[in-house]
Amino acid sequence: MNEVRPWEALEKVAMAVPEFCRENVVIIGSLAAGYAFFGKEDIMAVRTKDIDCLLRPFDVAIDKGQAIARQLLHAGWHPKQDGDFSQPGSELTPDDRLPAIRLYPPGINQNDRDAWFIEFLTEPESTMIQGRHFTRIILDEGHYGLPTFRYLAITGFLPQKIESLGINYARPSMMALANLLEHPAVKPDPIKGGFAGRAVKRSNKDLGRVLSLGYLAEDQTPGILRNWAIDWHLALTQFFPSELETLAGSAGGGLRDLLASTDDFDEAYFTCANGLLASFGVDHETLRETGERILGDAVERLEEFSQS
Amino acid sequence: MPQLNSMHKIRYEVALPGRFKRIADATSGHLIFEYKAQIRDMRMFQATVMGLAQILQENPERKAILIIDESRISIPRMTEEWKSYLQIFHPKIHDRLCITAFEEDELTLVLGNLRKEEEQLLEEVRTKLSSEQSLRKRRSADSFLEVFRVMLVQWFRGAGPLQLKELCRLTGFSYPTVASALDKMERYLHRRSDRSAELREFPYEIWRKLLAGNEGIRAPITLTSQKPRPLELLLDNLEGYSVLKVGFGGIIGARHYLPGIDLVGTHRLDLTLKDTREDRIQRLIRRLDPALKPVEINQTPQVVIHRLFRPKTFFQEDPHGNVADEVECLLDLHEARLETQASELLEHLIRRVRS
Repeated sequence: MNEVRPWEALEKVAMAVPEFCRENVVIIGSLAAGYAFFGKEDIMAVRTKDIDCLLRPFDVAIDKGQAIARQLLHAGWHPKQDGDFSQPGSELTPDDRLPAIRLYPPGINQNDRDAWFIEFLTEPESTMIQGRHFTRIILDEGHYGLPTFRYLAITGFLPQKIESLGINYARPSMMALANLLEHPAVKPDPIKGGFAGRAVKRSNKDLGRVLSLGYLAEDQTPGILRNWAIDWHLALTQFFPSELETLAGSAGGGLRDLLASTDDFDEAYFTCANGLLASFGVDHETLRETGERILGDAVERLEEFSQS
Repeated sequence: MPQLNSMHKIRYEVALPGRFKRIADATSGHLIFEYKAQIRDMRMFQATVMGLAQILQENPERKAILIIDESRISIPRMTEEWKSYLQIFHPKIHDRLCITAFEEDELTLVLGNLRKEEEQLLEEVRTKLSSEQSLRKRRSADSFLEVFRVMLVQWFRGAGPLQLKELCRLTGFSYPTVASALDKMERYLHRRSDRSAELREFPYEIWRKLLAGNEGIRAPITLTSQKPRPLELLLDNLEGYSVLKVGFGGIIGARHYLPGIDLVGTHRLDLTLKDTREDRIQRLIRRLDPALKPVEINQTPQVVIHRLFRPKTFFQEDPHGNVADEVECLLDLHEARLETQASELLEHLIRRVRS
């Protein structure tokens, strides 16, 4: 898997995004986690192939997305050339068949070992949507889609700003919550194409991400997971006030499933050991402890806070 | 129905009139209290309610209050069951029946009528019966140790002789049990004519025997995790925790009695708990650190929990919280193989008594 140095990639993205759009961009996913925990440390690389940029708020996502894409293309960034969904759609393409905007930096060959691309996503227009949803965005090259998920807006809640670059990155606690909410149970659906050569369930990868974030957060600041519960309660109150108790009650379901199943936990461990925790030599037992701490310190406290 | 006279005393284990020859857990005037802790299944719940209904049928002037303490049966399930009783029982019965439930010492459910003054009695009965249940779990073999420990704490504090009945109250043991325990430490005792006794000197011989069998007798809960959190963090997590009465033992407690004790840092957290209920202990452990697990062979514990069975804790107040008694702290230090510090503390405590 590709190794990306967080600071290098962030600098590259920030420099390419027009200044007036930067406040609308929140970096989420591996790169955000990498920067949150490793900062400018050159020794820490993040294994990823995509850099996810959340455009928010939804009302300006299309305008800002068009402006950013235009500038990037003008600066020599280039779209993905092969594979599924590599060609832009047209006005006839249904929303759910639109390709996402994925752009490689200038001079990077997408077949290079360390090639990475930037991908744009947005917040959902409504919190009632289910599953993956696309918002159409029209560029000179054709029609594209900004993907979103029901809980994606949470990742952009109270983002942290990199002052020197003018862009934001997601709080690890918020990325963890979005993943937990997305998986109230371990679902059987596999990741298309597997993960580092192994068949892995999507739920196990995403919940494994929660474990990685929890491990790194605790490693950096022991006991921080108790604060996650407070952040989570704030976010759910902001985005899902009428469903607060229900969502808080289901947030830990997938993680509990994962810890109860040797096979699922092993898959999650594999994604961590080959992803964010690649350099940490974390063993099974320690990762399992992290899961227990996330449940006890964050999930159960969230449940308590949210009981009416 | 008779009005409650607040002057009525609460009586425990009272034989009730009637052909069923039942014993009430407690009564106060016309009130009958039935106490059930940790009921796991519905059949036990139903059988208890049916039994109370029979009592009420035979005692038309009385009212029955069922106390369900820390049950696994959910509140909605009990409420559903109650609704069915309203259909089954004659109003003359169900109007005199009240079902209450407690969770973590809080009254969480009242089915039927419960007056304010009845609620006060209810709290008193529940507190008494719940602590009695945990006392009953003690092994009788612990009685000597418990009496000895109380006598020793009393001696360390220069608190003077204890009357036998007071010793019974402090330890929770009966008169014959306490008397028998005192007989075994006779050579160290100074008895008085008013049936009181105190230690004459530090009983080295008994103390050594106690240390030799300490671990087997105390059976502490020893815990650690793969990646332990700093102890300071565990202490922070205990702040404001009031569900259980917790006293710091070990080196933290020892520093209370001897601030200059020769040890840098705190290597493990020794906690002495007043409550012995398993569910509450587990909740406390989860609050300290959800990753804590029982130690395996060759692992060093990070947290050690000792359960105190006697009614009186002898905790001392400290700016950081309650501190376990001197004997608990000494035993903790020995258990942690901090022999030098244990000797240092013991010498200090003995010197203090003699001065």
